[in-house]
Amino acid sequence: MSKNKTIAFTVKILFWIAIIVFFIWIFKNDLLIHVYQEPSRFLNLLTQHIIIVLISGSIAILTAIPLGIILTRTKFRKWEWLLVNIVNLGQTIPSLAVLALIMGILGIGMKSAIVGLFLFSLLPILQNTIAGIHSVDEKTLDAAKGMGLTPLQILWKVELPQASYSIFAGIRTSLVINVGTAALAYLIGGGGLGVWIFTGIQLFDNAFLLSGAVPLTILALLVDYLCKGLEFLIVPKGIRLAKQSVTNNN
Amino acid sequence: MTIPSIALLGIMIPILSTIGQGIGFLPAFIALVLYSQLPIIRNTYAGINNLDPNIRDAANGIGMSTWQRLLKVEIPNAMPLIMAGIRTATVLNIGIGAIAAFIGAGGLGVLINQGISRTNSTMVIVGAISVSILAIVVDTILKMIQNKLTPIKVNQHKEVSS
Amino acid sequence: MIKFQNVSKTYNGNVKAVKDVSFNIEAGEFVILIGPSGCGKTSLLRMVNQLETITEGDIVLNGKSVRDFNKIEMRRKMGYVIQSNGLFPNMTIEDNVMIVPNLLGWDKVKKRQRYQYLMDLIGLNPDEYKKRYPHQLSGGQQQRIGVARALAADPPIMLMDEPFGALDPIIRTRLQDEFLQIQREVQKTILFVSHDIDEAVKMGDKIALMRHGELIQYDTPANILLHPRHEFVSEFVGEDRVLKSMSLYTVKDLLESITLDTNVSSTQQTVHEQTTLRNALSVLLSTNSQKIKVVDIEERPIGTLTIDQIEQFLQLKAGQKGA
Repeated sequence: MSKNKTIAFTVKILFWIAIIVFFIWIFKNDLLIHVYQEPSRFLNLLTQHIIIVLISGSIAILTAIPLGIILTRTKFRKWEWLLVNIVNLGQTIPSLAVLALIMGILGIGMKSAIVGLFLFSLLPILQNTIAGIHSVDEKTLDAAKGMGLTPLQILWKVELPQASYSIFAGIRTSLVINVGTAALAYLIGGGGLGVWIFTGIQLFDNAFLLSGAVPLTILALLVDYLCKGLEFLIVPKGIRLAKQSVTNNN
Repeated sequence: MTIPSIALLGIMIPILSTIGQGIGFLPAFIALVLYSQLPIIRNTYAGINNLDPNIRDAANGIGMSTWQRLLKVEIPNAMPLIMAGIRTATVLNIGIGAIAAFIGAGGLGVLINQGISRTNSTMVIVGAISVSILAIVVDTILKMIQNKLTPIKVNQHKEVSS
Repeated sequence: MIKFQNVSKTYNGNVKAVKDVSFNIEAGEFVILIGPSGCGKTSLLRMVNQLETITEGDIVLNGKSVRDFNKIEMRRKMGYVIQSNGLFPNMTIEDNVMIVPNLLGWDKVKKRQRYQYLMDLIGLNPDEYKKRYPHQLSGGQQQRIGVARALAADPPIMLMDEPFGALDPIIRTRLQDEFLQIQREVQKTILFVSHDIDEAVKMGDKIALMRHGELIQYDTPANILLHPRHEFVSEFVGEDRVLKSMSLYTVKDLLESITLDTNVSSTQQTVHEQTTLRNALSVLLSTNSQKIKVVDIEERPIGTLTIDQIEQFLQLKAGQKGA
């Protein structure tokens, strides 16, 4: 066990050294120059990026969770396989293709970017909502029914709390992918940090490239950590304990 | 996995440009290899690690060596998950491969790229649809292989998706 | 109180899980449904609180068909305990126990008192467990909480589906004893599914033995053991059924019909009059004297008991048809 820990520790140290070397190299060569030379332009792009992610992400969350709940009700179970298959197919289609298709239909602009990203973010949340509700312990459902909880009470008090972990994992995956894919929004005229990345590529200008790519990476990591924090607040304590006891038993 | 693919490509270019390989095939290749490693390694590890301890115990109990246990018990049982990892990685790679056209790596993404710069929507849609079909076809074939390699019908919901 | 009238259950149009079952349960009776797996005992139980629909026949509660009740309201008036407890992992112990009172909108003071009472009843410290979660408890503790949760709104009827089935034998025995103690205090009408004949004999006032969806015999434990009405009954209870029946009687019961020899010598092994005949026999077999001394609660000698006398008593019981 301690040997494994030493290896993990060494890998971590090497990783951080690589990152520090990378940043020293960047600052020595002034490769992030656009961030501090054009702060208003930078903030503008960053805000654009965040707005695209926030709008498409929140619409995706607000659509996917209710849809997942509806599809797991007994009445609609027979349609579930169809939707799950569509979802699986949808997830195989590359993000660039989704954006390009939407642009082909809706034309160039931020609106197309938001619609495309919404569609792309929908699937992981929907999939995890359905999987989460399916993974609810049958015994607790039986007990809840037997004690006279109404279907709505069972949903709120038993199903959703137990599925919350999985749903949240879906939201996290979806938002992180969304942040990255939003960089492609530039290609269909949606703005965002992608503007500098692609300008950098087209002009062979490393400073532009990194002034876009480095903040984008940091944004993605930030969203990931933020979601982890929110997960801690939203997922009920008892569920977290249950997860822990399961992993400890393995 | 948290690092966006386009950002990884973007960071790769300046680093590789120091050895004169900035734009083109190499950064795309390295990014794709890095990305495909993660789902495969993660799923292989999860598949072997999550094996029912009783099964491993039984394998030890009937006197299998570590290698026999790995080849005859652990890998076959982890196969559905390993294949799922390979599928995820491949589909992901086709997607990133399309983006790689923008850093001059060629491929179907070129159709989308040029279609956008020439505002030729037919070209964009043809590019997008052909990339999608490629991804779907490859995924379907891998799924068939996965089903063949799955010893028992394992519950689909148990795939690792976080 | 609960009347089963020609109840049948058919799944998917052809699989008959329960066939034409009729029997009555009186208020305050502890009835065990028992039989091999797949005999329909659980289906029968689940039809009482309408978790399964009744295909044919009827179940009548206090003169009213269960079909005419509002399902939700009716279930809140029945305690329901299942194997491996089904506690809600997202709720604290207190929230789990008080779920039905919460649904019924009890006031705070009443809920607090009830929670204290229930936790005392099942022998767990109310304050210590209040804010804990189910996964922090042992299997036996979780099952106790399951029982407390079912008792929370003081329902007149308890439905229990192999509540102690998933526990190890020592904990199971302890929980059975505790539950009998609880039942003595709360006096519920209980329908209890089990697959363990020893549990059935120990816990039940009456046993309903089922096979292939049919009710084979509905009787007191003593009659099930000593007067099996069907070959299957004697097969199910096992060849040691006479031995099992001996745990139903104490030495005191024997004293009612048989007079002991009052000539007591001090060297003999001693048993209390509350000892079961089964244990008394075991003591007898382990001594060489073939006689044991029987004493009452205050350790005053009553007489000496022999193996012959136990045999005589059992023959007497076997002779009393339908006692």
